[in-house]
Amino acid sequence: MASASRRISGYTANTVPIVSGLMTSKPENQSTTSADPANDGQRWKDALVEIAETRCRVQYAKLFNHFAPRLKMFALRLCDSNEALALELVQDTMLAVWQKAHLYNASKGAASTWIYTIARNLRYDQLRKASSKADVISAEDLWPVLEAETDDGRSAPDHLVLQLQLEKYYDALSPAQMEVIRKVYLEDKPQQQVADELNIPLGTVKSRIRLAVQKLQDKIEAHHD
Amino acid sequence: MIKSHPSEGLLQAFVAGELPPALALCVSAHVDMCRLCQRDVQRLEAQQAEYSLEQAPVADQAPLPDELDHMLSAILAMPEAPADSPKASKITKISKHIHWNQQKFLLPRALQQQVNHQPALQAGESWRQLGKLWRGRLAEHDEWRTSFYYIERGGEIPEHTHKGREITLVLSGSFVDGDEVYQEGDFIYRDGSHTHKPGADATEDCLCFTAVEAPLHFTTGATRLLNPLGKLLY
Repeated sequence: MASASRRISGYTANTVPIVSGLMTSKPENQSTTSADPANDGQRWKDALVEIAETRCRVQYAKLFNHFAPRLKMFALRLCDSNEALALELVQDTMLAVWQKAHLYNASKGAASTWIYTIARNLRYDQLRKASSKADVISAEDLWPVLEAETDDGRSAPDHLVLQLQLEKYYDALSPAQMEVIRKVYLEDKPQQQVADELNIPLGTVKSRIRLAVQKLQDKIEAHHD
Repeated sequence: MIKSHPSEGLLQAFVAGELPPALALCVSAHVDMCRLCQRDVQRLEAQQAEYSLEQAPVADQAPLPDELDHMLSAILAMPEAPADSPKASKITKISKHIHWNQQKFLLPRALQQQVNHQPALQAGESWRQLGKLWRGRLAEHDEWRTSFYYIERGGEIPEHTHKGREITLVLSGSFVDGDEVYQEGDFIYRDGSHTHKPGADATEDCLCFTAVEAPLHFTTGATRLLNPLGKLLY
Protein backbone atom coordinates (compact mmCIF):
# COMPACT_ATOMS: atom_id res chain seq x y z
CA MET A 1 0.00 0.00 0.00
CA ALA A 2 1.09 3.55 -0.71
CA SER A 3 0.71 4.50 2.92
CA ALA A 4 3.28 1.94 4.05
CA SER A 5 6.04 4.00 2.51
CA ARG A 6 4.77 7.07 4.36
CA ARG A 7 4.93 5.31 7.69
CA ILE A 8 6.59 7.34 10.37
CA SER A 9 8.74 5.24 12.62
CA GLY A 10 10.62 6.39 15.69
CA TYR A 11 8.40 9.41 15.92
CA THR A 12 8.74 12.24 18.38
CA ALA A 13 6.09 14.53 19.76
CA ASN A 14 6.72 17.17 17.10
CA THR A 15 5.89 14.79 14.27
CA VAL A 16 2.32 14.55 15.49
CA PRO A 17 0.87 17.82 14.20
CA ILE A 18 2.24 16.96 10.78
CA VAL A 19 0.29 13.72 10.73
CA SER A 20 -2.99 15.16 11.92
CA GLY A 21 -2.60 18.20 9.68
CA LEU A 22 -2.03 15.87 6.80
CA MET A 23 -5.24 14.11 7.60
CA THR A 24 -7.46 17.16 7.68
CA SER A 25 -6.36 17.99 4.15
CA LYS A 26 -6.80 14.34 3.10
CA PRO A 27 -5.08 14.48 -0.28
CA GLU A 28 -5.78 10.95 -1.54
CA ASN A 29 -8.93 10.13 0.38
CA GLN A 30 -11.33 10.94 -2.45
CA SER A 31 -9.91 8.36 -4.78
CA THR A 32 -9.94 5.46 -2.29
CA THR A 33 -13.40 6.07 -0.85
CA SER A 34 -15.85 3.54 -2.22
CA ALA A 35 -19.61 3.80 -2.27
CA ASP A 36 -19.87 0.04 -1.91
CA PRO A 37 -20.36 -0.78 1.78
CA ALA A 38 -18.83 -4.26 1.38
CA ASN A 39 -15.62 -2.75 0.01
CA ASP A 40 -15.74 -0.19 2.75
CA GLY A 41 -15.89 -2.97 5.34
CA GLN A 42 -12.87 -4.65 3.75
CA ARG A 43 -11.05 -1.35 3.69
CA TRP A 44 -11.31 -0.88 7.48
CA LYS A 45 -10.41 -4.51 8.11
CA ASP A 46 -7.25 -4.03 6.07
CA ALA A 47 -6.54 -0.75 7.84
CA LEU A 48 -6.73 -2.36 11.29
CA VAL A 49 -4.49 -5.24 10.23
CA GLU A 50 -1.98 -2.81 8.79
CA ILE A 51 -2.05 -0.67 11.93
CA ALA A 52 -1.35 -3.77 14.02
CA GLU A 53 1.47 -4.98 11.81
CA THR A 54 3.24 -1.76 10.88
CA ARG A 55 1.95 0.78 13.44
CA CYS A 56 0.99 2.89 10.44
CA ARG A 57 0.02 6.31 11.73
CA VAL A 58 -1.49 7.43 8.44
CA GLN A 59 -3.86 4.46 8.30
CA TYR A 60 -4.76 5.06 11.93
CA ALA A 61 -5.53 8.70 11.23
CA LYS A 62 -7.83 7.65 8.37
CA LEU A 63 -9.57 5.13 10.59
CA PHE A 64 -9.90 7.79 13.29
CA ASN A 65 -11.33 10.26 10.79
CA HIS A 66 -13.99 7.77 9.83
CA PHE A 67 -14.92 6.31 13.20
CA ALA A 68 -14.33 8.99 15.84
CA PRO A 69 -17.19 11.31 14.73
CA ARG A 70 -19.53 8.31 14.49
CA LEU A 71 -18.45 7.02 17.87
CA LYS A 72 -19.07 10.46 19.30
CA MET A 73 -22.70 10.40 18.14
CA PHE A 74 -23.15 6.95 19.61
CA ALA A 75 -21.40 7.98 22.85
CA LEU A 76 -23.54 11.08 23.25
CA ARG A 77 -26.63 8.90 23.04
CA LEU A 78 -25.25 6.43 25.61
CA CYS A 79 -24.09 9.18 27.96
CA ASP A 80 -27.39 11.10 27.91
CA SER A 81 -25.80 13.92 25.91
CA ASN A 82 -23.10 14.51 28.52
CA GLU A 83 -20.40 15.87 26.21
CA ALA A 84 -17.45 15.39 28.58
CA LEU A 85 -18.33 11.76 29.33
CA ALA A 86 -18.95 11.06 25.66
CA LEU A 87 -15.57 12.48 24.60
CA GLU A 88 -13.85 10.48 27.33
CA LEU A 89 -15.52 7.36 25.96
CA VAL A 90 -14.45 8.16 22.38
CA GLN A 91 -10.88 8.82 23.51
CA ASP A 92 -10.62 5.63 25.60
CA THR A 93 -12.07 3.61 22.71
CA MET A 94 -9.86 5.08 19.99
CA LEU A 95 -6.79 4.76 22.24
CA ALA A 96 -7.60 1.07 22.75
CA VAL A 97 -7.98 0.67 18.98
CA TRP A 98 -4.50 2.19 18.48
CA GLN A 99 -2.79 0.22 21.23
CA LYS A 100 -4.62 -3.10 20.91
CA ALA A 101 -5.04 -3.37 17.15
CA HIS A 102 -3.05 -6.64 17.29
CA LEU A 103 -5.95 -8.19 19.22
CA TYR A 104 -8.37 -7.65 16.34
CA ASN A 105 -9.24 -10.87 14.53
CA ALA A 106 -10.42 -10.06 11.02
CA SER A 107 -11.96 -13.51 10.56
CA LYS A 108 -14.31 -12.91 13.48
CA GLY A 109 -16.08 -9.83 12.20
CA ALA A 110 -16.07 -6.32 10.85
CA ALA A 111 -13.76 -3.62 12.15
CA SER A 112 -16.82 -1.57 13.08
CA THR A 113 -18.16 -4.43 15.22
CA TRP A 114 -14.85 -4.72 17.07
CA ILE A 115 -14.68 -0.98 17.71
CA TYR A 116 -18.34 -0.85 18.72
CA THR A 117 -17.83 -3.66 21.23
CA ILE A 118 -14.81 -1.93 22.78
CA ALA A 119 -16.84 1.27 23.20
CA ARG A 120 -19.80 -0.58 24.68
CA ASN A 121 -17.62 -2.44 27.20
CA LEU A 122 -15.81 0.74 28.19
CA ARG A 123 -19.19 2.39 28.72
CA TYR A 124 -20.12 -0.37 31.19
CA ASP A 125 -16.77 0.16 32.96
CA GLN A 126 -17.48 3.88 33.11
CA LEU A 127 -20.92 3.23 34.61
CA ARG A 128 -19.51 0.72 37.07
CA LYS A 129 -16.92 3.18 38.35
CA ALA A 130 -19.37 6.07 38.54
CA SER A 131 -21.99 4.13 40.46
CA SER A 132 -19.98 1.94 42.79
CA LYS A 133 -19.77 3.26 46.28
CA ALA A 134 -18.22 2.41 49.57
CA ASP A 135 -21.09 0.99 51.58
CA VAL A 136 -21.86 4.03 53.69
CA ILE A 137 -24.78 2.66 55.69
CA SER A 138 -22.68 -0.41 55.87
CA ALA A 139 -24.57 -3.60 55.40
CA GLU A 140 -21.16 -5.20 55.92
CA ASP A 141 -20.83 -3.79 59.41
CA LEU A 142 -24.33 -4.81 60.32
CA TRP A 143 -24.09 -8.25 58.83
CA PRO A 144 -22.23 -9.85 61.81
CA VAL A 145 -25.49 -9.42 63.70
CA LEU A 146 -26.89 -12.11 61.50
CA GLU A 147 -24.02 -14.53 61.59
CA ALA A 148 -24.62 -17.80 63.34
CA GLU A 149 -22.43 -17.63 66.41
CA THR A 150 -21.93 -21.33 66.96
CA ASP A 151 -22.13 -24.45 64.86
CA ASP A 152 -25.56 -25.11 66.38
CA GLY A 153 -27.01 -22.53 64.06
CA ARG A 154 -26.10 -24.52 61.00
CA SER A 155 -28.52 -27.31 61.75
CA ALA A 156 -31.42 -24.96 62.46
CA PRO A 157 -33.69 -23.77 59.66
CA ASP A 158 -32.36 -20.49 58.32
CA HIS A 159 -35.22 -18.34 59.53
CA LEU A 160 -34.86 -19.75 63.02
CA VAL A 161 -31.23 -18.69 63.03
CA LEU A 162 -32.31 -15.20 62.12
CA GLN A 163 -34.90 -15.26 64.85
CA LEU A 164 -32.42 -16.34 67.52
CA GLN A 165 -29.98 -13.69 66.45
CA LEU A 166 -32.58 -11.00 66.83
CA GLU A 167 -33.74 -12.23 70.23
CA LYS A 168 -30.86 -10.72 72.13
CA TYR A 169 -32.12 -7.31 71.09
CA TYR A 170 -35.67 -7.81 72.30
CA ASP A 171 -34.90 -6.44 75.77
CA ALA A 172 -34.65 -3.03 74.15
CA LEU A 173 -38.42 -3.14 73.80
CA SER A 174 -41.05 -2.18 76.35
CA PRO A 175 -43.38 -5.02 77.47
CA ALA A 176 -46.21 -3.51 75.40
CA GLN A 177 -44.05 -3.32 72.27
CA MET A 178 -42.71 -6.83 72.83
CA GLU A 179 -46.23 -8.21 73.14
CA VAL A 180 -47.23 -6.75 69.78
CA ILE A 181 -44.00 -7.90 68.12
CA ARG A 182 -44.45 -11.41 69.47
CA LYS A 183 -48.00 -11.72 68.20
CA VAL A 184 -47.42 -10.15 64.81
CA TYR A 185 -44.05 -11.56 63.91
CA LEU A 186 -43.51 -14.69 65.94
CA GLU A 187 -47.09 -15.97 66.05
CA ASP A 188 -47.72 -14.58 62.57
CA LYS A 189 -51.12 -13.04 63.42
CA PRO A 190 -52.78 -10.32 61.33
CA GLN A 191 -52.45 -6.87 62.89
CA GLN A 192 -56.25 -6.49 63.17
CA GLN A 193 -56.51 -9.73 65.15
CA VAL A 194 -53.77 -8.54 67.50
CA ALA A 195 -55.65 -5.28 68.00
CA ASP A 196 -58.80 -7.23 68.86
CA GLU A 197 -56.99 -9.57 71.26
CA LEU A 198 -55.30 -6.72 73.12
CA ASN A 199 -58.38 -4.54 72.89
CA ILE A 200 -56.47 -1.62 71.44
CA PRO A 201 -57.01 0.35 68.21
CA LEU A 202 -55.31 -0.90 65.03
CA GLY A 203 -53.42 2.41 64.83
CA THR A 204 -51.84 1.70 68.20
CA VAL A 205 -50.66 -1.74 67.01
CA LYS A 206 -49.09 -0.13 63.97
CA SER A 207 -47.35 2.62 65.93
CA ARG A 208 -46.01 0.13 68.50
CA ILE A 209 -44.57 -1.98 65.68
CA ARG A 210 -43.01 1.06 64.08
CA LEU A 211 -41.43 2.22 67.34
CA ALA A 212 -40.27 -1.29 68.19
CA VAL A 213 -38.59 -1.80 64.86
CA GLN A 214 -36.96 1.61 65.15
CA LYS A 215 -35.62 0.67 68.60
CA LEU A 216 -34.32 -2.67 67.36
CA GLN A 217 -32.61 -0.95 64.49
CA ASP A 218 -31.00 1.64 66.79
CA LYS A 219 -29.86 -1.05 69.17
CA ILE A 220 -28.37 -3.22 66.45
CA GLU A 221 -26.56 -0.26 64.98
CA ALA A 222 -25.30 0.92 68.40
CA HIS A 223 -24.04 -2.59 69.08
CA HIS A 224 -21.86 -2.45 66.02
CA ASP A 225 -20.55 1.09 66.16
CA MET B 1 -27.09 -28.33 29.45
CA ILE B 2 -28.05 -24.73 29.99
CA LYS B 3 -31.83 -24.34 29.84
CA SER B 4 -32.46 -20.85 31.16
CA HIS B 5 -31.13 -17.92 29.12
CA PRO B 6 -31.52 -14.14 29.11
CA SER B 7 -34.43 -13.04 26.89
CA GLU B 8 -33.73 -11.65 23.42
CA GLY B 9 -34.77 -8.22 24.71
CA LEU B 10 -32.26 -8.41 27.54
CA LEU B 11 -29.48 -9.48 25.16
CA GLN B 12 -30.37 -6.57 22.88
CA ALA B 13 -30.24 -4.08 25.74
CA PHE B 14 -26.92 -5.58 26.85
CA VAL B 15 -25.46 -5.24 23.36
CA ALA B 16 -26.75 -1.68 23.05
CA GLY B 17 -25.00 -0.66 26.29
CA GLU B 18 -28.29 0.19 27.98
CA LEU B 19 -28.28 -2.08 31.05
CA PRO B 20 -27.31 -1.10 34.60
CA PRO B 21 -23.71 -2.31 35.04
CA ALA B 22 -24.57 -5.01 37.61
CA LEU B 23 -27.12 -6.55 35.25
CA ALA B 24 -24.71 -6.23 32.31
CA LEU B 25 -22.11 -8.14 34.32
CA CYS B 26 -24.54 -11.04 34.86
CA VAL B 27 -25.47 -11.18 31.18
CA SER B 28 -21.83 -10.98 30.16
CA ALA B 29 -20.85 -13.80 32.55
CA HIS B 30 -23.67 -15.98 31.23
CA VAL B 31 -22.61 -15.30 27.64
CA ASP B 32 -19.11 -16.46 28.55
CA MET B 33 -20.62 -19.78 29.64
CA CYS B 34 -23.16 -20.22 26.82
CA ARG B 35 -22.33 -20.89 23.16
CA LEU B 36 -25.90 -20.19 22.03
CA CYS B 37 -25.97 -16.73 23.57
CA GLN B 38 -22.44 -16.03 22.29
CA ARG B 39 -23.74 -16.53 18.77
CA ASP B 40 -26.76 -14.31 19.38
CA VAL B 41 -24.65 -11.57 20.94
CA GLN B 42 -22.17 -11.60 18.04
CA ARG B 43 -25.04 -11.26 15.58
CA LEU B 44 -26.62 -8.41 17.56
CA GLU B 45 -23.28 -6.65 17.95
CA ALA B 46 -22.70 -6.72 14.19
CA GLN B 47 -26.21 -5.27 13.66
CA GLN B 48 -25.79 -2.59 16.30
CA ALA B 49 -22.35 -1.60 15.01
CA GLU B 50 -23.74 -1.31 11.49
CA TYR B 51 -26.63 0.79 12.73
CA SER B 52 -24.76 2.99 15.25
CA LEU B 53 -21.48 3.49 13.39
CA GLU B 54 -21.75 2.70 9.69
CA GLN B 55 -25.19 4.14 9.09
CA ALA B 56 -24.65 7.19 11.28
CA PRO B 57 -25.37 10.39 9.33
CA VAL B 58 -21.78 11.60 9.36
CA ALA B 59 -20.04 12.92 6.24
CA ASP B 60 -16.78 11.09 5.73
CA GLN B 61 -15.08 13.98 3.98
CA ALA B 62 -15.76 16.64 6.59
CA PRO B 63 -12.70 17.90 8.47
CA LEU B 64 -12.49 16.75 12.08
CA PRO B 65 -13.91 19.16 14.65
CA ASP B 66 -11.21 20.65 16.90
CA GLU B 67 -11.81 18.44 19.92
CA LEU B 68 -11.45 15.25 17.85
CA ASP B 69 -8.42 16.60 16.00
CA HIS B 70 -6.74 17.25 19.36
CA MET B 71 -7.73 13.81 20.52
CA LEU B 72 -6.07 12.22 17.50
CA SER B 73 -2.86 14.14 18.18
CA ALA B 74 -2.93 13.13 21.86
CA ILE B 75 -3.41 9.45 21.03
CA LEU B 76 -0.58 9.40 18.51
CA ALA B 77 1.64 11.21 21.02
CA MET B 78 1.19 8.44 23.60
CA PRO B 79 4.35 6.40 24.13
CA GLU B 80 4.17 2.93 22.65
CA ALA B 81 3.74 0.24 25.29
CA PRO B 82 6.35 -2.47 24.66
CA ALA B 83 4.66 -5.81 24.14
CA ASP B 84 6.64 -7.53 26.88
CA SER B 85 6.52 -4.89 29.58
CA PRO B 86 6.24 -6.10 33.19
CA LYS B 87 2.73 -4.65 33.21
CA ALA B 88 1.67 -6.96 30.39
CA SER B 89 2.96 -10.05 32.14
CA LYS B 90 1.10 -9.00 35.27
CA ILE B 91 -2.14 -8.96 33.32
CA THR B 92 -1.65 -12.52 32.14
CA LYS B 93 -1.30 -13.58 35.78
CA ILE B 94 -4.98 -12.93 36.49
CA SER B 95 -6.35 -15.78 38.53
CA LYS B 96 -9.31 -17.45 36.91
CA HIS B 97 -10.70 -19.05 40.04
CA ILE B 98 -12.49 -18.26 43.23
CA HIS B 99 -11.64 -20.29 46.30
CA TRP B 100 -14.15 -21.44 48.80
CA ASN B 101 -13.89 -24.04 51.52
CA GLN B 102 -10.82 -25.72 50.01
CA GLN B 103 -12.53 -25.93 46.66
CA LYS B 104 -11.58 -23.98 43.58
CA PHE B 105 -14.17 -22.78 41.06
CA LEU B 106 -13.39 -21.59 37.54
CA LEU B 107 -15.09 -18.23 36.97
CA PRO B 108 -16.56 -16.95 33.70
CA ARG B 109 -14.15 -14.47 32.08
CA ALA B 110 -16.36 -11.45 32.84
CA LEU B 111 -16.11 -12.14 36.58
CA GLN B 112 -12.39 -12.93 36.71
CA GLN B 113 -11.29 -9.33 36.26
CA GLN B 114 -13.81 -8.04 38.82
CA VAL B 115 -12.82 -10.55 41.45
CA ASN B 116 -9.09 -9.95 41.00
CA HIS B 117 -9.45 -6.54 42.62
CA GLN B 118 -10.62 -8.20 45.82
CA PRO B 119 -8.17 -10.78 47.17
CA ALA B 120 -10.16 -11.38 50.38
CA LEU B 121 -13.27 -12.19 48.37
CA GLN B 122 -11.34 -14.39 45.99
CA ALA B 123 -9.73 -16.34 48.82
CA GLY B 124 -13.10 -16.86 50.50
CA GLU B 125 -12.01 -14.84 53.55
CA SER B 126 -14.49 -11.97 53.48
CA TRP B 127 -17.56 -14.17 53.17
CA ARG B 128 -20.33 -13.90 55.74
CA GLN B 129 -22.36 -16.78 57.04
CA LEU B 130 -26.08 -17.07 57.52
CA GLY B 131 -27.19 -20.57 58.41
CA LYS B 132 -26.31 -22.81 55.49
CA LEU B 133 -25.63 -19.83 53.34
CA TRP B 134 -22.46 -17.79 52.79
CA ARG B 135 -22.28 -14.55 50.96
CA GLY B 136 -19.28 -12.82 49.40
CA ARG B 137 -20.18 -9.29 48.36
CA LEU B 138 -18.62 -8.13 45.13
CA ALA B 139 -19.91 -4.58 44.72
CA GLU B 140 -22.72 -2.10 45.11
CA HIS B 141 -23.90 0.04 42.26
CA ASP B 142 -26.66 2.53 42.95
CA GLU B 143 -29.64 0.29 43.72
CA TRP B 144 -27.85 -2.91 42.78
CA ARG B 145 -25.73 -5.31 44.79
CA THR B 146 -23.70 -8.11 43.32
CA SER B 147 -22.60 -11.09 45.40
CA PHE B 148 -21.45 -14.66 45.31
CA TYR B 149 -23.50 -17.12 47.29
CA TYR B 150 -22.37 -20.49 48.47
CA ILE B 151 -25.33 -22.59 49.60
CA GLU B 152 -24.72 -25.89 51.36
CA ARG B 153 -26.77 -28.81 50.13
CA GLY B 154 -30.34 -28.44 51.39
CA GLY B 155 -29.80 -24.84 52.47
CA GLU B 156 -32.26 -22.17 51.44
CA ILE B 157 -32.92 -18.47 51.52
CA PRO B 158 -36.05 -17.56 53.58
CA GLU B 159 -39.13 -16.98 51.44
CA HIS B 160 -39.14 -13.49 50.04
CA THR B 161 -40.60 -11.15 47.47
CA HIS B 162 -38.45 -8.89 45.37
CA LYS B 163 -38.94 -5.19 45.32
CA GLY B 164 -36.86 -5.10 42.18
CA ARG B 165 -35.17 -7.45 39.77
CA GLU B 166 -32.98 -10.33 40.86
CA ILE B 167 -30.63 -12.25 38.61
CA THR B 168 -29.04 -15.51 39.66
CA LEU B 169 -26.35 -17.17 37.60
CA VAL B 170 -25.53 -20.73 38.64
CA LEU B 171 -21.74 -21.19 38.59
CA SER B 172 -21.55 -24.69 40.04
CA GLY B 173 -23.87 -27.35 41.44
CA SER B 174 -27.66 -27.20 41.36
CA PHE B 175 -29.93 -24.39 42.38
CA VAL B 176 -33.56 -25.15 43.22
CA ASP B 177 -36.41 -22.66 43.02
CA GLY B 178 -39.89 -24.11 43.45
CA ASP B 179 -40.20 -27.07 41.09
CA GLU B 180 -37.33 -26.01 38.88
CA VAL B 181 -33.78 -27.26 39.19
CA TYR B 182 -31.15 -25.06 37.56
CA GLN B 183 -27.66 -26.15 36.61
CA GLU B 184 -24.31 -24.60 35.84
CA GLY B 185 -24.66 -21.68 33.41
CA ASP B 186 -28.40 -21.16 33.93
CA PHE B 187 -29.46 -17.52 34.06
CA ILE B 188 -32.52 -16.92 36.25
CA TYR B 189 -34.35 -13.62 36.02
CA ARG B 190 -36.95 -12.59 38.61
CA ASP B 191 -38.85 -9.35 38.86
CA GLY B 192 -40.73 -7.60 41.66
CA SER B 193 -43.88 -9.69 41.41
CA HIS B 194 -42.32 -13.01 42.29
CA THR B 195 -42.32 -14.62 45.75
CA HIS B 196 -39.93 -17.52 46.19
CA LYS B 197 -37.69 -19.50 48.51
CA PRO B 198 -34.70 -20.63 46.46
CA GLY B 199 -31.93 -22.86 47.73
CA ALA B 200 -29.40 -25.54 46.92
CA ASP B 201 -30.31 -29.01 45.74
CA ALA B 202 -30.57 -31.63 48.51
CA THR B 203 -27.68 -33.63 47.07
CA GLU B 204 -25.04 -31.05 46.22
CA ASP B 205 -23.76 -27.63 47.25
CA CYS B 206 -24.30 -24.67 44.99
CA LEU B 207 -22.21 -21.64 44.04
CA CYS B 208 -23.98 -18.81 42.31
CA PHE B 209 -23.53 -15.18 41.41
CA THR B 210 -26.38 -12.75 41.96
CA ALA B 211 -27.34 -9.20 41.20
CA VAL B 212 -30.19 -7.84 43.30
CA GLU B 213 -31.97 -4.54 42.82
CA ALA B 214 -33.15 -2.91 46.07
CA PRO B 215 -33.52 -4.96 49.23
CA LEU B 216 -35.53 -8.16 49.27
CA HIS B 217 -38.83 -8.16 51.07
CA PHE B 218 -39.19 -11.18 53.32
CA THR B 219 -42.63 -12.62 53.67
CA THR B 220 -42.67 -15.14 56.51
CA GLY B 221 -42.58 -15.13 60.30
CA ALA B 222 -39.94 -13.50 62.41
CA THR B 223 -37.80 -12.76 59.40
CA ARG B 224 -40.36 -10.15 58.43
CA LEU B 225 -38.85 -8.11 61.23
CA LEU B 226 -35.88 -7.80 58.95
CA ASN B 227 -37.78 -5.90 56.31
CA PRO B 228 -37.06 -2.48 57.75
CA LEU B 229 -33.47 -3.67 57.97
CA GLY B 230 -33.62 -5.18 54.50
CA LYS B 231 -30.22 -3.82 53.68
CA LEU B 232 -28.76 -6.25 56.20
CA LEU B 233 -29.18 -9.16 53.90
CA TYR B 234 -28.78 -8.02 50.37
